[in-house]
Amino acid sequence: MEEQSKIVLIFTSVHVTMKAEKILKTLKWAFLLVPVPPFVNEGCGIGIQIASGDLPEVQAYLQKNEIPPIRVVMI
Amino acid sequence: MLYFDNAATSWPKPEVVYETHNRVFRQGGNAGRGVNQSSLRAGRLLFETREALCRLFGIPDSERVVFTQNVTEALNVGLQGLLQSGDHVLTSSVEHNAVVRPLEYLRERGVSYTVVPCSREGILDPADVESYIQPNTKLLCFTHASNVLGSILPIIELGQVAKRHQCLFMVDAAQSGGVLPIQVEEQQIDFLAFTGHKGLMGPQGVGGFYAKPGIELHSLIYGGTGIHSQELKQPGIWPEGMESGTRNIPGIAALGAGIEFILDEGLEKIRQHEVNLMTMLLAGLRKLPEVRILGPQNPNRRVGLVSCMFDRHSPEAVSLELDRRYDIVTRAGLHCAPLAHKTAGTLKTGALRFSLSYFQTEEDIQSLLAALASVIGG
Repeated sequence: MEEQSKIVLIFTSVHVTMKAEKILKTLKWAFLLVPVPPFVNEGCGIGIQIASGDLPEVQAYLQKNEIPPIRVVMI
Repeated sequence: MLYFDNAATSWPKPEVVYETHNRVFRQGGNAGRGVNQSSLRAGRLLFETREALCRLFGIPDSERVVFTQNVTEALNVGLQGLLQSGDHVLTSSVEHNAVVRPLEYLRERGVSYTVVPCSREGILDPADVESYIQPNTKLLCFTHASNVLGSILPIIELGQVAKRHQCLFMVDAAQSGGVLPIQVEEQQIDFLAFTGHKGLMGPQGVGGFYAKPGIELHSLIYGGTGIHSQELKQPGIWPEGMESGTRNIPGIAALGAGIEFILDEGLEKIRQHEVNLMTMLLAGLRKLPEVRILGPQNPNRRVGLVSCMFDRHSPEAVSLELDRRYDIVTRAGLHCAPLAHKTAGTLKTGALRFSLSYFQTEEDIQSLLAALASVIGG
């Protein structure tokens, strides 16, 4: 994952984050669970970091599984 | 020791439950408290147990599964969280104090309730329930199975009554979870309260509830949730907003292992074993002199517990003799369910209860019957 192109997906709760993690684990995209950036007030404090290039596909997949992130942050 | 007090807490547990508890307790970590590996591991364990409960109870969304310390707390959250002044509740005459006492206190807040009478055997007629509906009836709250009489209440029909009258339907699954089929959507259950340490084969100190999406509840306990910490008030986000303070993570993980065991064995097999043992126990008890069996005579109409009375012996004396002379654990008394004893006509005396487990054998039943015959002189 390149240093300059990170995206953090923020979810409503730890529970939903775990749900998203479980789904993403079965797929091809690399990701990491990370603390949300300090300027983000929404969410549960845990985010899922992905490569920015994967965002469209990951987001579409999560949407299809009814667990869309509540915010997408570029860092 | 022969243990016949599984309705109070089941014993033994599947080996995997002990192993899971031991492993997770040693691992440490607090769910939702940071992004360190221990916290994340703990969070995943909670998630997986919620998912296992969903598979067992047909719950569509694990976000609506909340962990409490036991079924009593779960029922309190449901009753105190749902009911407001002017609301009316229907319940049965075999309920546990975990339902009756919160309702009694809710009277002081303007909530009223009606106890629909069951038969002496603990059988409830749904048509009777329907006849007690009032314009302000908001909730039908019933146990799935009596912890004294063993009788199974008709929750499918009760759910239908509730929906016909636009009422919420709450089920206390303390004695049925892990033994009888429960499918919240098919049975139209809006709120299901369960305990982890009985039929679900988990450890003590873990229970919880499912509340249908759209049901708004306020938590009984306020505090740290690990999320939205900047807010002074409780976040309205499930499940964490309903779970203030640290959860019993080793216990919840072990409960998950218990549920997976049940799912692997199959509910039908577990139930059939219980019915087989109950059939044998009831037949043996009927052969003994001076034993009066409470509850339905048909083993298919009851869960794996049977309470008895004796003509010439008190339930306490028999229980004590079984314990001290034969190393057999039973429970005498009112079982925290005075309404059920009133229904059975045993409020003054209490009764002696034998309750079964999936791990018992026919030999265990024979040993119990032989010891009982010796104690009461049969």
